[in-house]
Amino acid sequence: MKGVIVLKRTGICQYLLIVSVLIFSISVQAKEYIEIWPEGWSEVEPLFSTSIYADRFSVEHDDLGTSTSSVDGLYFRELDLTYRLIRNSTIQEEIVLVEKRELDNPVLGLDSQGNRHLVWLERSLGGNSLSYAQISVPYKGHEQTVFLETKNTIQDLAAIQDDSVTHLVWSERDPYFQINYGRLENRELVDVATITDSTDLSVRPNIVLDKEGTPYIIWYETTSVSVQVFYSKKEDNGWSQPFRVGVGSILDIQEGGTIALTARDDQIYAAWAALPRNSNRLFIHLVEIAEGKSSQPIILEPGSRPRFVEGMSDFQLVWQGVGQFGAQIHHGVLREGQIVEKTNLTVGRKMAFRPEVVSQNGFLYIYWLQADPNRGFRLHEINNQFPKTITLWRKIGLDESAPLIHSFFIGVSTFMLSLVYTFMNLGVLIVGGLIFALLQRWDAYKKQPLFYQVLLAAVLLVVISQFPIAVGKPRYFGLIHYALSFFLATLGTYSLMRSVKDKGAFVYAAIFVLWMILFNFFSLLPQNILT
Amino acid sequence: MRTAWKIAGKIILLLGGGFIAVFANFAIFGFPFPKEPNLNIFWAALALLVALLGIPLFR
Repeated sequence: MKGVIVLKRTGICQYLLIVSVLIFSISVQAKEYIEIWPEGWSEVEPLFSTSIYADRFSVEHDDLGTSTSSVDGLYFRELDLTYRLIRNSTIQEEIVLVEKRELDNPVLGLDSQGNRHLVWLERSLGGNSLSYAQISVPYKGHEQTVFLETKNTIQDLAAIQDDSVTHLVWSERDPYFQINYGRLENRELVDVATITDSTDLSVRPNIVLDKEGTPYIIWYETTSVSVQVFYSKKEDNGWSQPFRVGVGSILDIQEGGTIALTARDDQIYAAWAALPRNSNRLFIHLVEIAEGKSSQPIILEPGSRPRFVEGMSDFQLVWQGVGQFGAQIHHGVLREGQIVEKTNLTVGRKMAFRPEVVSQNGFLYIYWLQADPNRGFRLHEINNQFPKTITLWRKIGLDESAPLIHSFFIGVSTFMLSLVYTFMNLGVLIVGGLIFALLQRWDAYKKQPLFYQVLLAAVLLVVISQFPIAVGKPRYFGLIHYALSFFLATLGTYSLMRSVKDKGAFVYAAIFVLWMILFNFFSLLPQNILT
Repeated sequence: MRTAWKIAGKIILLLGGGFIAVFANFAIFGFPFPKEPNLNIFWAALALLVALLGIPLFR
């Protein structure tokens, strides 16, 4: 009979070996990680390649389509100013307006007739110039007009379109960097004014018009010790005296950041990135400007490059946030001074930056840059008008092409990780165990049923783990997941230890270790999927 | 030996069952994303600990 038992054991071992080989041979098809898609958003469409030299690209939309202006190319002195018309995420027109020049700050505006108004900065050895062109839809040719030429350094051109009139701001060095304003009417620059008069560097201006068409300008002023944010408004007798609305950061200027402006509900809102007092990371700051006064800046979220979403009933922002793999594009709704309904739009382990956003009939189209494997950057688009169908597998974080294999690997790797985290929590286990042992000296606690002992051990461990004793612990994924992990670990420990009759110190130590392993296993599942 | 297999099977069932419960939670409430730690958990656990320590004393 012994021989039969030996054969049976061998049979089981062979069976396990065959199953393992089968599983591991198919396993190469499962992805190493899963891309968690933002629900309600479309596929991310790569559109076109562009250069790394311009601080921004420009996007605008009307019923005729979405138009972009960008400077493309691989060498900073040989860039192409390119205009594109996009419909249904497909490029319909692509026109190179200027070839092989040193170009920057392409700004696009639309008028009520559907014309596209383009302004841009051009640098050459002979001097610097600002140029203008108008394009119709469909494209029927264009004429370039140089409306400003100077030997002074010009940078940071920004503009806003008011039907056929273009309001411009730029920073010009004469001899110090000052903020200039002008209005382009019939291809002629008029009403030119220098807003600042300071020996400090006045840079990165932006402009917005209120509902009466009054221009408001905001800019950074860099002193030797700090960066200040200043603001001025056009009045009947000229521009108002600049007044300070907040503090900026040299880090944001170095990274090419600008100040976002919007006019909403009879007020002007400005958002920029700066370092809060207690942090060395850039955070989005928001101020409200009304009647010549500004509110205290509200610190919103970590990140930079904020952009207000125009044309929507609720107050929405898009910005370049910070994630595990670097810069990410975030969208959020601003309510009562804080960002709610925050969504990470960047999928997978890729960095994304410099977002721009347009709204189309209540839907959002967001554009950003990602590194192009073929050099330069690639512009991508995502929208919430045609959301991607998300299967149940993808929704729960599993690879839909091989869900069972992926589950198996997640299970095994998370179990191994839970052992590591349990070891890292040795201090918590020791402290918890000592307190538990102390309580066991009282009969009142010693005579309690097993479930009480397990629950007491679990709660002790949760309380002690909040102190800085553990070397590491699983990330927090919300109260529901935390509570579920606690419940499963407690119930699991109880069910496993129920059949043990002895209640000595060794058994209680096993309860502690078992609970910790189970708790770490269940709480690490989403963390393991995301990494 | 049979007991060892039984225990191993129990552990695998427990891990598997919990695994399914966690993913069922994702299906119902959506995949969770990392959040800032909630201090209220500490206070709730502390309150539960005080209650647990108090129960045997008053029973």
